[in-house]
Amino acid sequence: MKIKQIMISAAVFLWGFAAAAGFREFVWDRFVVPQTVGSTVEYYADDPEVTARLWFQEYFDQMKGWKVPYEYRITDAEIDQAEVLDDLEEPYVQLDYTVHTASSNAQIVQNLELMTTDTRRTFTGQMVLHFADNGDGTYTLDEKMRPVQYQIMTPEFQEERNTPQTQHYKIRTDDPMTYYIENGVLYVTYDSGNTLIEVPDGYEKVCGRGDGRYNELLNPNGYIVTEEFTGFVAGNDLLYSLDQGQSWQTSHISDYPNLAESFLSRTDGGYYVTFAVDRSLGNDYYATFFSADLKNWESVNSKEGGWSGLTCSFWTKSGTGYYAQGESLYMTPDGGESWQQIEIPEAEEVTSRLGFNPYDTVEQMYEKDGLLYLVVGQGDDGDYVKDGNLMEALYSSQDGTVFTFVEEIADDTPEEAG
Amino acid sequence: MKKILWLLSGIVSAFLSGMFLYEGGKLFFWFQDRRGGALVLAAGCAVFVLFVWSMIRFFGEDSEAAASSETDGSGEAVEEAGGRHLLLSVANEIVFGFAAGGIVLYLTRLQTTLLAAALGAGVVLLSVMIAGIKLAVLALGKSKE
Repeated sequence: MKIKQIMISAAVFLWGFAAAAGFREFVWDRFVVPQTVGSTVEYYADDPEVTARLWFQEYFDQMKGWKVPYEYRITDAEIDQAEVLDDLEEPYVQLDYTVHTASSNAQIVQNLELMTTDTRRTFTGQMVLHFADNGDGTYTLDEKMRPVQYQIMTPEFQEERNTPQTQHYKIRTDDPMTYYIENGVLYVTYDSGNTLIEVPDGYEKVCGRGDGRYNELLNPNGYIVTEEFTGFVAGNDLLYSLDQGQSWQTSHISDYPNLAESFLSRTDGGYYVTFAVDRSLGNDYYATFFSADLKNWESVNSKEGGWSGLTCSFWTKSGTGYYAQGESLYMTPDGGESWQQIEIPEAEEVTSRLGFNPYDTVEQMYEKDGLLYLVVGQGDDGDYVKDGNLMEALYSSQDGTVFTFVEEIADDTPEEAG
Repeated sequence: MKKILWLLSGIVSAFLSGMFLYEGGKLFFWFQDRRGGALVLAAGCAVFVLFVWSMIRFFGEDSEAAASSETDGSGEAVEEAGGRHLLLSVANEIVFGFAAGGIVLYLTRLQTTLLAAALGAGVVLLSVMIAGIKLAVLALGKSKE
């Protein structure tokens, strides 16, 4: 073939390719994502389960065929289990289902709120539906939610939530030096629980919440139990021991009341305590205090605008401070004089597997073997579990500014005790 | 007339292979669906073979016609032209077999990888086998003469 003929052939192919690509994109662009809430289904018998099954079939049928883009395209969807839930005045229907998609990609998992399985292109999902009877033989889907959202609405859950209760926990077995609460007494141990040393009045001072309940699950950065120093933030005081619990002292930090979470760190230069000193319009405002001698406390500068909604505060041995508001992490290398925001990269392998990033709340920081570790959890609404455990993401940093994802770890909250 | 048919075949195969290659590329690179993307890309490549052959035949049709008309009627020349015609016809079958294999691969891509690949390859092998049998039968007939 001559050059001219090759050029003409290439032009024909390019035309064909462009036309095909344009045609594909045009068809996919015309796809309208099927409506969920607000969609109507016709059925002439008052059976919510049958209505839900009918709606499910109609809904997923709209996502089949070559005109559907791959971020929505399925090949089949089947209901594994349907259950009518009657905890509320109106019946709701929970559907557990399996979806076979046309492509295995993260977008479809996210768009259709699916969960991965071991089989390629096979995913599972759950939804709770409620239909409103229009009175003319048709039903309109007026609520679609996840099972956990339904459970929150149930009277049992509401009752449990509104009843003041103190949750009890078992002793941590993975940490030889920790605290333990039993029968309203706060103990510390330095030998994995073999010897329990009582903290005098510790339970009332450290765990009391003022509403008749006690917080027996202290936040991991809110206390320190080591052989050299043991300390708990008790309201606006620091309750501490320098001789492994043999004697206890109290150091008054500030006259501001402690209204929410508190955080305690020990550096080479002294002690940092952060707690909520004010509350306004549902927000807690935090202040940090520093003491070099456990007698005199001075206020530490906050970043401009102050701190609200803190989920973690930690100061390293060398005196670098970290403050986390959800997934935002700030650092001060000079005792609060200047602040810089630290980027926490997404856990790529988790995000690509699930289609979304479940980790959005910095929950804990600690130093170990010269590295700084960061634990990012799922916040209050987290429901991503693996092997029955709620998961967290572990990050590490050598220089304290660049964090890299290490692995997923199981939430190490101690088991609940009866 | 033949020339127009080859051009039509080229246009259709360009569109079809372009569609498969675009879709496969999008699956492979955009959606990171490596397996699905690779299968559809392979289907596109198989149909692309037909496009290339169609263009070769489209541009070669004039010279083939000229060569046929220029034969001096001698036995040797007729035999040569017949042989060339036979080879082109066998190549046609194999190339169309490739395209058909690509289409089958695309249509069966949602089955298991092994099954889809086996079905696609099966169609190609079938076309090669038919072409082979055709050649063998002709060769047998010639040897009897």
